[in-house]
Amino acid sequence: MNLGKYVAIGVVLVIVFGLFSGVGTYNGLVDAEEGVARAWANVETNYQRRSDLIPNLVNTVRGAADFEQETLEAVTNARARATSINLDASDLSDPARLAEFRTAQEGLSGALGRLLMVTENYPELRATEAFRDLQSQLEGTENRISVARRDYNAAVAAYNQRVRRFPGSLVAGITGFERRTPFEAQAGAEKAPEVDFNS
Amino acid sequence: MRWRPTIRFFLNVLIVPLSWLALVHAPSSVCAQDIRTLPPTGKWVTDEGGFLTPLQEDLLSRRLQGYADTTSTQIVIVTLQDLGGYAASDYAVQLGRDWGVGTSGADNGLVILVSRAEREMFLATGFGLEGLVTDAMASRVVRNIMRPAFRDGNFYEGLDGAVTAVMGLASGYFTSDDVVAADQGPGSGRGTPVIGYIIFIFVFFLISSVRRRGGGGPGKGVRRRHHGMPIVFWGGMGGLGGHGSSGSFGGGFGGGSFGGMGGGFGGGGAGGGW
Repeated sequence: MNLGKYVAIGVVLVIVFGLFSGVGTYNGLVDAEEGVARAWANVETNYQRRSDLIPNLVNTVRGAADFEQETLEAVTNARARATSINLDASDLSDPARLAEFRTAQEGLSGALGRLLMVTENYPELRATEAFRDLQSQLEGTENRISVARRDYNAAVAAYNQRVRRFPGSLVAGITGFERRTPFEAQAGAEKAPEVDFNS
Repeated sequence: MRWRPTIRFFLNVLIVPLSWLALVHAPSSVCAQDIRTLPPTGKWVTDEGGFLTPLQEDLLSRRLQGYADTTSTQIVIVTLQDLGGYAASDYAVQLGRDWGVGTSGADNGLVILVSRAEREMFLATGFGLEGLVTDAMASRVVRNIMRPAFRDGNFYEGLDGAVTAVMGLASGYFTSDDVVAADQGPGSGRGTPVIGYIIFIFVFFLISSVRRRGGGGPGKGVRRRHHGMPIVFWGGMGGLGGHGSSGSFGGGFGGGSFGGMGGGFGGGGAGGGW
């Protein structure tokens, strides 16, 4: 019977150990999920920051006399579309929602890129310090967006790895953690609009 | 047949924790860092690109050291031969993070990056400086100070002027008092789970007891235990500080070095070519 006692003690120890590791794994998942949510908030903040810069940019450009109206309108419309889509943490497991957000923001990127291209024809506008400041703010915001997006993707990768790998997959399956979608830029769209300071 | 579930239960209970041990401590294959930057040198001015004479490097270092001593704002100048295919902004941000430029909590770091092959420069601001050295201001520093001097080949003058301008912009906002040493903030306990610590401590005691029994007087045993302490501390630090720059801690002698405790960079700043 001595043997049976040892086995019982061993089983209890192993169960306690398993519980401990299960709790640790669960907490790790929670942390990673929070990391994803935080990184996403950062992505949205930076897109918002870009949207906030646009009225100022449009006004500055409009001041330059006979600037094409349709280019400005395209930017304003794209901005309205982009700001209408906001995702919260629970949307991040839905690739369709994320694609919607991305498409709207890329539409705005495209419209902005065209606007900046058209300003090439207005050297006196580009020479003003106000425009240059705006341009650098816009460029800085694009940099922030790309950094935030990379951080988000890294957070998603770390989180998904936890969800998929054993034993996280076990705990995640029981407690209902879902995979998150990385923010993949469309081909050619991941580059921020080129802003050339030399001209 | 009644035994089947029991056996399966046993297998689960046994195998789950054991394989957990094996897997959790295996090196993770996904790495958040996709840009390889220069390893931390711990110097205020790192002139890989060969723009400066040793004297100029020393002069700039002293200015930056003095500024960090009085305001806690850390400005680091790094020049490169080439960017290795990365965008200057991405490289500067990653370098700021990897090196931990700035002080912990305040994130008041700034990286001035210059690359020879691409003829590009970038001023990357840490989170804590974004309100003072705004992108627009950083861009003005690049456009109006660095570029004209660089075009004339006056790299020291350009860098020195940029340092003066940035110091003026950032001045007086952070003082050393604002920064509590090694304040790590929440969410830092990630990494080694509790079990790992328990095992570690267990192994630690096992080793130390074996050593004490193995040889040497009690005096030697005590000294060994003292030796062990920083290792325990370091185990914690690795999880807390992210990629801490090990080489650059304990600065303050010689030309001085910066302690990499900050590293909060989010893409702020501005750059351009010359």
